[in-house]
Amino acid sequence: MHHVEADIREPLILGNKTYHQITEDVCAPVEGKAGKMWYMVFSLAALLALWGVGCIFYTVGVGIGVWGLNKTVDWAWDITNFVWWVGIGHAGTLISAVLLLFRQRWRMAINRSAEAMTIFAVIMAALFPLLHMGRIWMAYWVLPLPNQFGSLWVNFNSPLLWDVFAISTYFSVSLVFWYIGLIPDFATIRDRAVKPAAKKAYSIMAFGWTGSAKHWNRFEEVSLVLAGLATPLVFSVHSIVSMDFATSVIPGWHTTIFPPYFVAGAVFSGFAMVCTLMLVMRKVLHLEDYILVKHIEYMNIIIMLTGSMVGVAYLSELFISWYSGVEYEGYAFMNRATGWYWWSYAAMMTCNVISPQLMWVKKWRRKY
Amino acid sequence: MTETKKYWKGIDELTAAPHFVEQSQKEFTEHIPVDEFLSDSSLGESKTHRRDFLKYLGFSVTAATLAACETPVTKAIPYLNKPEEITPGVANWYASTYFDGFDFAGVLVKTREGRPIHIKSNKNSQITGGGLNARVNSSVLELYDAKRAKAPARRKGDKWDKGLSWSVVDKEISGKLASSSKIAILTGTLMSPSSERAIAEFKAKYPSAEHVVYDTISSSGILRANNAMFGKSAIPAYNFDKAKVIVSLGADFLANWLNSNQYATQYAATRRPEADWMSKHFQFESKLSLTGSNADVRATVKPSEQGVAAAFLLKEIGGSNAVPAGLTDSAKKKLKKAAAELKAAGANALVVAGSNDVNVQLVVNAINEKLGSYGTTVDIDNALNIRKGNDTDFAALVNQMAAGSVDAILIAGVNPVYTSPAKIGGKADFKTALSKVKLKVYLGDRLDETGAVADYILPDNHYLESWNDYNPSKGMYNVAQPVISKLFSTRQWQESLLALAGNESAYGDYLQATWTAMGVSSTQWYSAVESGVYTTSGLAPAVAEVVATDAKPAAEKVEAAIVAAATVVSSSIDLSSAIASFKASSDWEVELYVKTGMGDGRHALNPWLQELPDPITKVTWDNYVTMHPTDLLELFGKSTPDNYEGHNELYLGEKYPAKVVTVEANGVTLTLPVYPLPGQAKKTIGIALGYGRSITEGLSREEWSGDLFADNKLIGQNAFPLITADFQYNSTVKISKTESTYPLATTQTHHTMMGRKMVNETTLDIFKSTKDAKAEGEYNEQMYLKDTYGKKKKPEELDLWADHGVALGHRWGMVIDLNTCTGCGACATACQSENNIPVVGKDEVRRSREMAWIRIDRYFSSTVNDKKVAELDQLNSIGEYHKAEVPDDEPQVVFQPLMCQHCNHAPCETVCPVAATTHSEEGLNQMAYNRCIGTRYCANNCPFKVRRFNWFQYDSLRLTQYPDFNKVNPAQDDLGRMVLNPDVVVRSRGVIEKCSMCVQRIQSGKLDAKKAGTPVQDGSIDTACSEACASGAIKFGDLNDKTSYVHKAAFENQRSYVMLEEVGVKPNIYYMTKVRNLDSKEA
Repeated sequence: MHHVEADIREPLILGNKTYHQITEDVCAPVEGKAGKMWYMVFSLAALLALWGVGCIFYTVGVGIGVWGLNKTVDWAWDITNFVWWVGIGHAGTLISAVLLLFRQRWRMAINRSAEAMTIFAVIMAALFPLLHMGRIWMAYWVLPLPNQFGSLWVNFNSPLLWDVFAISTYFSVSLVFWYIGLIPDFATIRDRAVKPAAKKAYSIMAFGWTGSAKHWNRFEEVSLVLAGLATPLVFSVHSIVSMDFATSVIPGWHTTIFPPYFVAGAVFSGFAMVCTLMLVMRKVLHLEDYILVKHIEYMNIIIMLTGSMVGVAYLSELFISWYSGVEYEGYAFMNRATGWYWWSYAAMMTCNVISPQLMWVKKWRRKY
Repeated sequence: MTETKKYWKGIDELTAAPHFVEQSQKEFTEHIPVDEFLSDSSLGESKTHRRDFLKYLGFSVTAATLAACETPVTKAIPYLNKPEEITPGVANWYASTYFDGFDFAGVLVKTREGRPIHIKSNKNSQITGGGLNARVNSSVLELYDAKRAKAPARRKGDKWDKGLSWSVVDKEISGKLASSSKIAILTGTLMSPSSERAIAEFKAKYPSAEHVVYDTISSSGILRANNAMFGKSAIPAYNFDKAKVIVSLGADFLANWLNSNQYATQYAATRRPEADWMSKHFQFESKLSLTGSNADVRATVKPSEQGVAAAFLLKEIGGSNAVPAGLTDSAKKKLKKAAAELKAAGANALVVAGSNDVNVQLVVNAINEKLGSYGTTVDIDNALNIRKGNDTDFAALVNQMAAGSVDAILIAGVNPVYTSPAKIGGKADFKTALSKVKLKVYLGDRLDETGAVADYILPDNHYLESWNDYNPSKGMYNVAQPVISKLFSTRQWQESLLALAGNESAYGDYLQATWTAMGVSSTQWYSAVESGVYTTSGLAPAVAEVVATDAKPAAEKVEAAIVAAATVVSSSIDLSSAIASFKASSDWEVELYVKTGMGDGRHALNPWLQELPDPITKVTWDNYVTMHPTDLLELFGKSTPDNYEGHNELYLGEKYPAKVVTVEANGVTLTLPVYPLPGQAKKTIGIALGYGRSITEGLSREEWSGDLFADNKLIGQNAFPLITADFQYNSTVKISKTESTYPLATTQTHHTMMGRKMVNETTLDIFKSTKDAKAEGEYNEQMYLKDTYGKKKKPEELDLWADHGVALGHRWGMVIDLNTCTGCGACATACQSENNIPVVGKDEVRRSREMAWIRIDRYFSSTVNDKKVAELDQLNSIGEYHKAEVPDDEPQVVFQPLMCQHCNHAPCETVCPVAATTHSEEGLNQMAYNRCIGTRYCANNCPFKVRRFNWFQYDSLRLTQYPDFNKVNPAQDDLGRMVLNPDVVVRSRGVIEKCSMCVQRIQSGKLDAKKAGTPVQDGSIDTACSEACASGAIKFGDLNDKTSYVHKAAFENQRSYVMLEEVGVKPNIYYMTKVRNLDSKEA
């Protein structure tokens, strides 16, 4: 394979691979047999998931009271989980959409898995607003469905409703984007499949992809269109999620800095999650030649950048709470930083603001 | 025109033409085309084939089966014959009277379809007026208590023969009584002509019978003192409404002392700063009581110093007595001030004391006499009959019982095994003495402490099932009537006495007969029953005689021993020996007090009252030791509460249990959690009576009792045994710390307002001298915010949205006068009863999940607030915030009832994704439970935190995972559900609920006005809380009605303000600044 990059750039694939080798390497995890280790880890994950399902049954069966919330803290880990899961999904979208538009070719190695992460993260995120409802069986009432209840309609003033639209849009666009990206991959696996059943299944999923120039042309165009659609979502979704807080009147929540701060935080935590997953994946699936230190480094730079943005946001919050002269705000932040949960705040500052700064040092950000 | 007119339809009819006659015989005038249908040839061909037989059979059977199936319905059985007085959906109100020997109140009982569901005060009552405390308005729930005894029972070894018939037990007991040579009847105070007559009849049948009156909370001290000074063993009528200066030495007269329902109403009338004068109230006490927290000036004195304080006052107002040693300088200073004010007020002064020590009461009488209060604020001539119990009589009876000289005892209306001191008269305890009595008949309502050791239980009716008459004061009579047929096979105890005496008449008839004998005509009688009250200048001697038999309580023979010489009136009575008996102690002292919710303990199984937070400590479901925070830290060897660490030591919360101490007094040891109570006198503790009832076993969650009370799973601990042998409610005590901790469920973990303006307050002189309170720098300064251009604007002018139209039609709102609110909590239980609010139990309260729609926030003052916050203008470090949370040692207290503020710009309304909470055209913030999906966003966004979430199915028996709710929630069992108000839906799990401003009452009031064709009159609609408020602090009305009280108070009164104005939510609830009767310099 010929290198198209200039020599001063590091290569994006090591080992002077041919196309065939690349196909072999990439398809190996799908076509090969799973090892013992895989089964053990998968079983563990499945057990945890089962436990989660059990907890969901318990919550829905008995009542939200089992979560230990109370009347001043009506949301706690349900909202934090929601925000966090939505947030990490953003990295996938950023990688596949924004970086595509900016023609960052290094994204190719990680975009599919990052997108997959996005899909599952959004599904996880959607779970929490559903589960936190007192009457989950009425959850469909948040959709503006024509109904027989008279003139009942959803309340378009409510940020929670905006969430519904934001999350559902985000999920559909991400899903389509992810799937379209997968079509040529499915076709490749279909062509290599030997078992008839697998061949049948993959040919259905591949939508009759032949790899003709026309197909590739359409594929590129659709990718661009979808990237164009998905890019604003990177910014809008978490802005809207942040409005759950920003539009309220609660001290500590009622803060206009939230939308940009949440988006930066989302990209920040999302890339951290992609990094975490990739580091494991490249080892376990032997993809060291494809996911390079260079990729890790790029992602670390983004983490450093967004981490710094988040740091500035944290400090602005503190400053504004003092500068506004509102004692309730003042207390909320003072209490957050030095009250009973100071350790949690300190951990957050250390991990979110201080540790990303280590990435300024090239040696450290390339070390994994 | 006597002839009957005839009308005809046509000439044919008039002339009776033949064709018309023929036509009129036919059913159908027109020809019915049956032939066409029947002549259809295909009809004849249709036939059922034999092969179709099974098809048709199958169809018929299936159809019949399906028709027989229906979804199970909860049956609502209509009246076959509608009772004349009941219209389904329309409430009937009956006047009645509540008297249990502790609380007295005229009540109106609301019944729906025959079920009593709500109780409010009977404003006609000559004695209590509008006053009704939480204990009385919650008493309706006790009717539906499934744990009441359901039929007579006889002891059989350790077991009981239950469900006996009345005739059997009557025969057995009267047989045994006939062979008894000494019978005692032990009751609480009766003040009932008919009951007295019944007892007299019983005595006539069994001449050896002696009637002893015993009050669980004794007022013997006052009775004796008055007997000594005036020759009347009576409680005088106190006219707090005439008192310009009130000095209370430990008397909790707003909540628990004597006829508190009346006093609270009277007191409130003197607490309106707009009036010509406002009373000035001094309180000297050891434990911060509800009354003390309402006082203008309060100082702590130890229980042993109360007499000293009284002597000091007497001396200061011109007495020539000695003053024993004791009292802190601060207390002395305040006493001097009080004395000066008393002297100035003269006859309009009133001094009361809560002590049961006859000597203290003698000195207090002397003070009142010296001030000339008798005749104005104290009226001994129109004495109240609400306490008659004489400790000495009771002690004498117990001694006789212990000596084995009593053969039979009948106990009614009191529970002495539970409520009597550990050593009575220095000797026996009641239980041991009782065991010496051969025949013990308990006429109580359940197998409680006394019932458990009795031989027979003749279960008493609930008062709502009973007839009664009361004579609370000269010429004033009250009637109690049954409002529901008996739920169980019970019989009211007077009827049981009569039955044992051989009189089989029903008690209702007996009562009427008594009244007829008293010279009351039947018209008067029926009007008395209807209105619940009967006032007369004097009744025939028949009654007077009956009353007189009791009015000569055996007291006299006892008095001699105590105050030997003084039997006749005299201010010349020698007080020197009385004063000499006052000895201030420097040891730890305990004062036993009565809690606003629990009273003397008879309401222990009433979960509404168990969950009603104590007004001062805000603790539910427990009693505890109250101790000064500094004392507590010293006892545990910790730092002072002024610093952050100390504050953390004392914090009580979900994960912060209380410390536990052991209290030893009077030979009794109790282990109790400690509540750090600012305002408690140093080196004293307080313990509430009325807890630790055996019947409460298993009501609190065992896991939270921990190891501490592993062998005693009761709610709280019984402190009655700590009462001294001579019935004093205070004594010296030994306290030691333990290593255990115990969780207390408190609804308010904060102490102070931290420099904010939740409760606005000022002093009387400032109030009087201020022309425009809203002006800058004045006490009710208008708040301004700056807009984008730096222009000062009122918060309500800074707005992004269009207003809800509020100018047209009604705009419901409330005005809450913080000056008259005493914090008693009657509104909270009334709301609970009206709005079917579930009880959630201690563990849920501990997790801050109580469901009460109205809460009363209590704030202590803090000098850190006043000084440092003012100096710094804002708090700059967490340490300062925490310091601001530390209350003063002797704090001032404010109460603030808080319910949904029905904001016109409600933050909750905008955030609900499904529009389940919306704004009504009439200014209500309304909640559609059916639409709520439970996102709780509204509750998060509520600045007042008044929204409540149903975390579990609190009202369901089906929730097997949480059996505890079955135990604590009266709405759980079928009987308890009878108390539910059918006008208010019971909320399911997963929905938010909150104050609806009693929308069901507003609606019915509007309908009534519409039917009457008039506009809604101010005062014709009342919410449960405003109706229950004895002091008139909460007022409801139409803010758009220019003539209404709320309009004038909210918009024309200088004192009105809204909470959290800067948030800009525009509440419909207005508060009125609290005004303390103080000089701003002394404050």
